[in-house]
Amino acid sequence: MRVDATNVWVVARREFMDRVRRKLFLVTTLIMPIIFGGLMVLPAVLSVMHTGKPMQVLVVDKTGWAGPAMVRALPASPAEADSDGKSHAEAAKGFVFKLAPAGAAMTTIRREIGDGKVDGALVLEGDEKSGLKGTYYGQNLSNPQLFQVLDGRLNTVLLEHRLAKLGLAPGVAQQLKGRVDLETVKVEKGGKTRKGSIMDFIMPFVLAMIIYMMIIMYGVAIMNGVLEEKNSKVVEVIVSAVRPFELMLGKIVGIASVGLLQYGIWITLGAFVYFANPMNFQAHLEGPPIRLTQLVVLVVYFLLGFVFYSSLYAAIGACCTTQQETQQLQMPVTFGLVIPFVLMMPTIMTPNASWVVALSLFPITSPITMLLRVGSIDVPLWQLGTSLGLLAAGTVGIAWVAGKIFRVGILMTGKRPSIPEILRWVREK
Amino acid sequence: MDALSYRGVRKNFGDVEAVKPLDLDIPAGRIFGLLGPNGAGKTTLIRMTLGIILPDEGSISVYGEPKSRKHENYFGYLPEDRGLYPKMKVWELLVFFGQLRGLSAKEAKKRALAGLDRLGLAEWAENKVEELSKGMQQKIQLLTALIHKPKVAILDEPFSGLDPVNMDLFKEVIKETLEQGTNIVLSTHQMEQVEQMCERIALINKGQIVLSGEVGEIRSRYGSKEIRVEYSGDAPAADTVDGLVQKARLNGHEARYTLKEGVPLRDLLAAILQAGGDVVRFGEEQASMHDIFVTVVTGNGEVGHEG
Repeated sequence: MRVDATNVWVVARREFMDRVRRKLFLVTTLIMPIIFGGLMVLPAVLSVMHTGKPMQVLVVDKTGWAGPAMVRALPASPAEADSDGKSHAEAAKGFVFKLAPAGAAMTTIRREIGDGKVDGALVLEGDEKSGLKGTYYGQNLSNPQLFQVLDGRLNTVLLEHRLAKLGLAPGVAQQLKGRVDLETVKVEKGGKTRKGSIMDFIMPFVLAMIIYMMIIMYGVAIMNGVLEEKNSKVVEVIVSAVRPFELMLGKIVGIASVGLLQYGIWITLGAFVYFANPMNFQAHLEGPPIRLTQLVVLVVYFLLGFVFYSSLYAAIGACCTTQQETQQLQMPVTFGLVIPFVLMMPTIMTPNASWVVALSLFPITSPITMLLRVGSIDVPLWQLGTSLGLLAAGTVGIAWVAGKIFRVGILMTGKRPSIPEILRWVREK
Repeated sequence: MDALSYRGVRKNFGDVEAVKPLDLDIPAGRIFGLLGPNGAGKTTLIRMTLGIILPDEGSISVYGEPKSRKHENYFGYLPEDRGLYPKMKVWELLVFFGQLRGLSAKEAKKRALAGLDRLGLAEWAENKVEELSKGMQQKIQLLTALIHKPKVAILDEPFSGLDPVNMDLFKEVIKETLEQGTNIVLSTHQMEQVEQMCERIALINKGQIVLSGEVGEIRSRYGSKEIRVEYSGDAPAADTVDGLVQKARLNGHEARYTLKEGVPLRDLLAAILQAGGDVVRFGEEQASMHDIFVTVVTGNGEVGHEG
């Protein structure tokens, strides 16, 4: 099949200009970073703002020694302040502990909790030997901050009690405890090291996210574009001037360029925001958060994966006449993307497990799985080569098959063809 | 020289024979009418000509050469199902189609503006296509088919939905295009337009050509030998032309006579005038393309007459 590059170029440019000029493009380009930024900043903002009164927790002491210590306003313990001491000390202010009157019946306390008079009750049991056992009763058990505070305090109470038994003053406990710092150092090929940063954790996700979102967003955009052209009948004139395969390629190239432009804008914006924080800037003085090889791999996998999936989407668009009809046919295609996406966590945790390697070689899943691996470790070159070779071959094959389906489908009207019918189109000369 | 010639061209869709093996020559320099009822295989034949689909068998030649990719831009196409990109500016749309047809952007723009001017749409160039009326969009569609000055323009129902003024404008433009060296293949159901514009036709039915040739020749071939005469008053009595005609049908101001073998036309006229007939119109009746179409397609041997 000979392809006239000029035709592909003319179609691609029209597609690009048409989309970039739409208001929708401007709006999504501006709105998306705001939404994402908001999602990241909002929880922090909300936790700083203490809305409402602090939580009331009754302490029911069955030990005879732990209760008063628990109620005493304690300074934030290291356990409470594992990474960022300040915010947890702040969080601890959100809770007020009060000793339950001696002899108060548990049934009464439970009723009070049920009626919302108190937020919860902490029952303390145990002796010096077995340690301290706390049981929390409450309506809401889904506040992780509360348990972090409880856990930290209980530890401190037990520790101080035992120290006191040994004849040491309570203040000694604070002196004994120290802050533990865990630092990470990334080792690259050849033994080169650099200080690890938050980016090492985020980067694999970011890479996979980018490719996943782009394929879904812009693949579907191609499908809908084909559908639109089919329904507006403009396609008939166009295929009299260009080969259907050229039209398909042109649309893919044009829309992929829109996607690259949009992501380019977002990534640039994101980088600015990230590096605007001097701490992050310092962290990467030794090396950039993303290496050139990663960037090249990202772009190559994006391009191949995009052509792979969007030819399928284009073929689906060509086979259908309504959006509803596309839903069914889209399912298996979307599956190929969703599976590696769902397996993201285990993929990152064990990037060299054999099933992960297999997924990163298999053309349907490789764009996402391989990017996750590349983001977390140095992938052996042979695996990268094999994966890319298979993906390239798969992409050419799929584009060819999709082109055949596209050619026949795009001029069809009326009801959606059955799968066997579509397969016959592929076999046809 | 034939602009297009088809030899044994055949196309099946599954079990349906859309086009049976078909031979056809479309001579250059004329307006050729491609006629046929809906579903006869016209669109399939057009699509094969344009290379949108490939024939299962047979060959198509363009100016004597086997058709290939090199002839891609020889063609211009106005499809029956019209469609344009609604969000594009008019001139940009035309430039897009011009470029697809191998023109440079600059040349395409020049021609787009000239074409818009010719069709009275010059001031709409910057508007979006969707802002134009249906008739205007049809003009744009015609321009997309002609912008690259194709060797062969295939126009499928170009006149449908046009008002009489625009219909005349379209006809003028089509004739100008012909004079500038573009062959026109006109596919239409409007038989009056065929009579007015086409020199030759081919009539396709059920995937094969059932009638082809010069329009005039076909019309006289299918025309009966009836002579139609109109009078300002009543027609003279039938017996005044006895001996000259086999049959006379009188109907108020109008009469139809079938001459006997070997009787010259002027003898009939002389006899009528002698009988005092006040003749306002006198002539041999030709079958209309409409009647011929209906007759051939319905398989009815007799060709009827208007009136």
